[in-house]
Amino acid sequence: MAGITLSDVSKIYDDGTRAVSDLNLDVQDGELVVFVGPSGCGKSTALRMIAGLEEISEGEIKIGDRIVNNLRPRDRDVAMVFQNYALYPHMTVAENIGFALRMRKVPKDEARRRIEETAKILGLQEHLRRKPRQLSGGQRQRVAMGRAIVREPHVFLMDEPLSNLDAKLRVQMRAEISRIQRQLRVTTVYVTHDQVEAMTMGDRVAVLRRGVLQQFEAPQRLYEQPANLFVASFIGSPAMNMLDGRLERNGDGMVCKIGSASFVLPAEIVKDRPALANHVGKPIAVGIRPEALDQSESQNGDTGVLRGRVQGIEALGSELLAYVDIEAKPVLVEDVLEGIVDMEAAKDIAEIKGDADGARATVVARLDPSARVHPDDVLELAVDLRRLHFFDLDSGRTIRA
Amino acid sequence: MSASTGVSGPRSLPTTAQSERRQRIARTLTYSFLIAVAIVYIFPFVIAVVTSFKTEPNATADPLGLWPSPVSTTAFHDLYTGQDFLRWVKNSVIVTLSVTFLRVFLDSLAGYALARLQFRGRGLVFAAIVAVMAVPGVVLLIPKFLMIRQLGMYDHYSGMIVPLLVDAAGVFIMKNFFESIPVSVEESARIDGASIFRIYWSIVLPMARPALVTIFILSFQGSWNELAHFIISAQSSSLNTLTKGVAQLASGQLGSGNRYPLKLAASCLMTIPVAALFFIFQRRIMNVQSGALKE
Repeated sequence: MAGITLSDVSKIYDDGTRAVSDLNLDVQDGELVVFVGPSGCGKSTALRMIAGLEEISEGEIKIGDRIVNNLRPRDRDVAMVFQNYALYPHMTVAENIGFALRMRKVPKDEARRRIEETAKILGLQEHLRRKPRQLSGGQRQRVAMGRAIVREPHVFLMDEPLSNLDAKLRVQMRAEISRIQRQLRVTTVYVTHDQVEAMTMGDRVAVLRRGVLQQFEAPQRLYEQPANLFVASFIGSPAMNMLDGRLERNGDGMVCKIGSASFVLPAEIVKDRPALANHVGKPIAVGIRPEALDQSESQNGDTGVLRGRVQGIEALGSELLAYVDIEAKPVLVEDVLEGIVDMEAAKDIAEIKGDADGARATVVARLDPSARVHPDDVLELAVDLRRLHFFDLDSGRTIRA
Repeated sequence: MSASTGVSGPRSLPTTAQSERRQRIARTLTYSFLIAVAIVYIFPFVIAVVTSFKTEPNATADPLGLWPSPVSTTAFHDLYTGQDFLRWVKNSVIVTLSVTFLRVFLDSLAGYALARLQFRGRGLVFAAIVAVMAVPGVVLLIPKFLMIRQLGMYDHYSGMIVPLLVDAAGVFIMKNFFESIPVSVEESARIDGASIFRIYWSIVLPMARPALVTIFILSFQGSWNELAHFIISAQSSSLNTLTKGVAQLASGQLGSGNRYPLKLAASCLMTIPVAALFFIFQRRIMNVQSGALKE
C-alpha cells in the first residue's frame, strides 16, 4: 500500500498548451480521491501521468517513497480501469482477468486461485469462460474492475469507469466500487466529470478547471465552503443561485442588498468573515443554495425575503424544485457559467443572457414536496442568511478572512 | 414507380398494372443481359474443364464442343507421368507457403510499427511505402533481376521468395486496421505489464484477424499466380513453378501438336488451391469482421 504525491506537476504539449498546471496534491494511503471537473480540465491527463501513459513535463510524482517519473507503467505497480473498459475481445473473462498475472509470471495454480477469488468478489464466477462480447455493459465493467483487482496493486486508477453505463446501473456500480475499495483499502484515484459521483464516492475531491487545481477537500466541506465561484457553481445540483449583491454598513452590522431586497446579516456571519468589511459599497456575488431558500410563512413585507413569480416547478417526489423569477441581477461571469455547463455551451449562454436586460434572475428553491406552489403564483422566499456565500467578483474567490 | 401511383390518385389502378408489366419486362431484360455476360465469363473455364477430359484428336476436331467423346483421363495421366508437373507443384507449394506466412507476419509487424510506434521519419517511411504501390510491377522487373543477381540469389529459392516477402499494399492494410483498434486496449496491456512485442503478439494480432485473413488470401493467391517474378529470378527447369511450367506448355515449347487437353488439365489443377481457399475463407472474412471490434 502506498500514497501518491504530486509536486508541481505540469503537462505541457508541444504546441505550448498546459493541460495540467503546477498540480500539488497528496493522496493518502488507502484513500479514494476523485478528480472532477468539466471536460478539458486536465483530470484525465493528470491520471494518465500517474499511470505512466503520459509523460510528465514538469514536477514529480511519487507513489509510496518512489519517484515514478521515469518508471514504465508496468513498474509503477498501478492498475487502471478505462472508460471503454479496454477488454481484450479475443480472450475469455478468465484470460482477461489473468492477463496481468501471466505477464508477471505468477505460477498457474496461484493465478487460478486469484482469478477465482476476484470473480467471487465481483459476482463473475459463472461468466469466466465467456468472451467480452457475450457480456452486458455492467458485466464488462466488472471484468475491467477484476483486471485491476486481481493484480493486488498499490494504486487503482479509474478513468470515468461508469460513464458508459445507463443511469440505474451507474448508481449500483458506484456503490459497488466504493464497497470494493473500502474492502481492499487500495489507494485510488478516480476521474469523473459527474459531480454527483465525485461527492458520493470521494473521501476527498479535487476540483480542476483548465488544468489548475481549484480546491481539494472532503465533499461536505467542498459543498459548504467552496473556495471560489467556479467550485460553488460546479458542485451541487441544482447549482447554487448566484446573484449580484451589494454590502452596506448598518450601524455595527452589515446589510446585504440583492435587487430591491435587503438582508441584515447575522452578527456571527460578519464576525466569521472579517474580509466582508473590505467589500462594503462594492458589488459582490452572493451565492444561495436552493435549500437555503424556503417558502416564507410570515408574509411580513420586503425585508428578508425574495419575492417573485413562479416560472415552473419540478416535483421530484422527495422534494419540489421551484424556479422563481425575481428582481435581481444574475451573476453571469465565466467562472459561474463554466461550472454549470460545458465550456463550449457556456459562451453561447453568456451571449444569450447578455442580451437580456440583466435585471431579472431565475433562482431555484428546493422546497418541501408538500408545498402548495403552482406556476404563476407569486412566491415569497425566505433566505437562510447563515448559509449565504459571498464572492469577490474580480478574483472569483470566496470572501472570508 | 410507387411515386407515380401516389401522385395520380384515381388512375392509380391501371397505372399499377402497367408499371408492374414494365417492371417485369425490365427485369427479364436485365437478367438476360446478366446471364449472357455470365456465360461469356464462365465459358472459357467450362471449355478448359471439358477439354481436359477430351482425347487429343477429339479436342483438335471439336475444340469448342461441350461434351468430350470419348471421356478420357489421358491428359491427367500424362501430366502425372510425363511432364515435370509434380515438381512444379512442389515448387509452387514451397514458394507460396513461405511467401504467404512470412508476408502475413512481416506486413503486420511493419503495419504495427507504422501505426503505433513513435519514431523519427515515420511519416516519410509510410509515404515511401504508399508511393511504391503506385509503381507498376513490370517496371521493377529488370531492377529486381539485377539485384537478385548481385546478391547471389539468382536461380535459387531465396531469389524467388525473398523479394516477395513484403508488399506495400499489405503493410498499408495492416496499418489502417491497427489504427482502428482502440488505443486504450493497448494501454491497458502496457499497464498489465506487456512489452511492445507482447502487445503486438498477444493483443493486437488476434484482434486483427479479419485483416490477417485478407492478407493471407491476397498473398496466397498473388504468389501462387505469380509468373513474371519467377521468370526473372530463376532459369533452371528444376525451379519451375506451376505458372512457369504451364506457361511453357501453353507456348508450345515442350511438345509437338497442340496438346490442348494436357495444357488445360494442368490449368484446371492449378486453379484448385486458390478456388478452395476462397471457398473456405469467403464466409470467415465476413463473419470475423462483425463483432471483432466490439469492446
